[in-house]
Amino acid sequence: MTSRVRLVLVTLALSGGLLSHAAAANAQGRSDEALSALSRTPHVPNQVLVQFRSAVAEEPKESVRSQLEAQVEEVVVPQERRSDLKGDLELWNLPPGLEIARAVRDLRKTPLLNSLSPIGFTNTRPLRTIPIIAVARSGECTATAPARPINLAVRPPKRG
Amino acid sequence: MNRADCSSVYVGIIDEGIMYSHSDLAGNVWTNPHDPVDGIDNDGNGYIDDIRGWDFAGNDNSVYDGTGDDHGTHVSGTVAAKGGNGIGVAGVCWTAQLISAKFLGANGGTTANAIKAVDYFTDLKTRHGLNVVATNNSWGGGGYSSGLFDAIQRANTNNILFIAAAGNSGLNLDVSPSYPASYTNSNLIAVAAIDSKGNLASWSNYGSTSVDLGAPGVGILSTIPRKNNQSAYGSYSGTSMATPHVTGAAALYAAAHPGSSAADIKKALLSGGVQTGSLTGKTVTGRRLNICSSSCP
Repeated sequence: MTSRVRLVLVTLALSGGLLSHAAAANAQGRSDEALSALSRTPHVPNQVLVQFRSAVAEEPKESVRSQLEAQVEEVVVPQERRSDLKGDLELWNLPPGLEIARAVRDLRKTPLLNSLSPIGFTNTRPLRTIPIIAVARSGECTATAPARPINLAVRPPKRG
Repeated sequence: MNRADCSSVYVGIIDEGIMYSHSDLAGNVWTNPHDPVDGIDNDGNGYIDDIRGWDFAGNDNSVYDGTGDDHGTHVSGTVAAKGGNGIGVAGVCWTAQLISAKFLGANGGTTANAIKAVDYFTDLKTRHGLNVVATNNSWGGGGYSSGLFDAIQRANTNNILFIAAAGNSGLNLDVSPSYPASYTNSNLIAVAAIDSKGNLASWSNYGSTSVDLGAPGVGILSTIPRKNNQSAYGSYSGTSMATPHVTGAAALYAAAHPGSSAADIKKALLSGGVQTGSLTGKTVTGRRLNICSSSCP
């Protein structure tokens, strides 16, 4: 082996190590984000979204799942249907009693994953301040209910 | 083409369902030519008989399930209620084609289904060449999701804008992020609500670096369903109602400027707005939507 080839191999090994370290740090950052989100927003109990890195085979994926005794509910975004360079996005059912925060912590350093995050609840709640209801009848619009203001103290503003 | 001819443009409504039989919406709700109702997933997108879109909450093809779909029907009317028909209201883009991705039910929705909804439109555009210009996202909650960020990014790659309500909590999103409005994807436009005098609504979220512009969101009259499948109209307020004005404007711009990219449309909408005192320091542009300056041919 020439010294130039050796130098290339050493460089490759070093950069591989650095990349893997960077990936782990990045994943930890995302896990911290997920844990923080858990404390702030309501989420679906016993389910998580798991983003695998690209081209992870089924066997190692199953081994990751088995660490939590998790089951795949569905593949939300299969790798073959995505244009970015990520793997499957899976929705897992966690075993009863396993807290999502613990699942996030347990798998935060798994190199096969981009992220593991809770599934948040979303909603849409407009502020119905002037609930005029009108019914369309043959080319006109007929008011059928008087304005009935809603007490905002009772119904506080919500995202919508 | 006249000013209101948006028939070449498709808009995704990621929300509750749409009352597609509403007399002011019928004809403007897309019918999928690639997947007729025959029990087979003819277009191979994983959704059987998605004739008008898909109900991700119920996992079926019923995108209208009754009067509980009022919010989705209301925002749809603001985007594309039929104009010039002598009844009810006119949307911003009179003939745009609406596609429903219902993911909110009586108890709200989940970020997992929101991801599938966003990808549904990206797939329609990439595999069927449908001219999907934007999705309207008058909803919030759920916290940060990298999966949803990625889905919005895939939409961006395919020139689909993600137009999102800033939210109704009176918060500064620069300090207290709220999703999806606070995602940093470049194809996202976050919308605050103003009243008819141009004042920022007291309950509207805002943010000088995170909320792009304001649009009318107080006392907005639009289409809603009523019992026994009656077509009706109701006046709602919220950033939910401001957002579809911007979505409709995006559709109008796209119709008037065929081939424009998501970035082109966003730039036109943001730079074409009117400087507004109440939005100065409260939004990125300090402007309110000005549809004609931004979008008219």
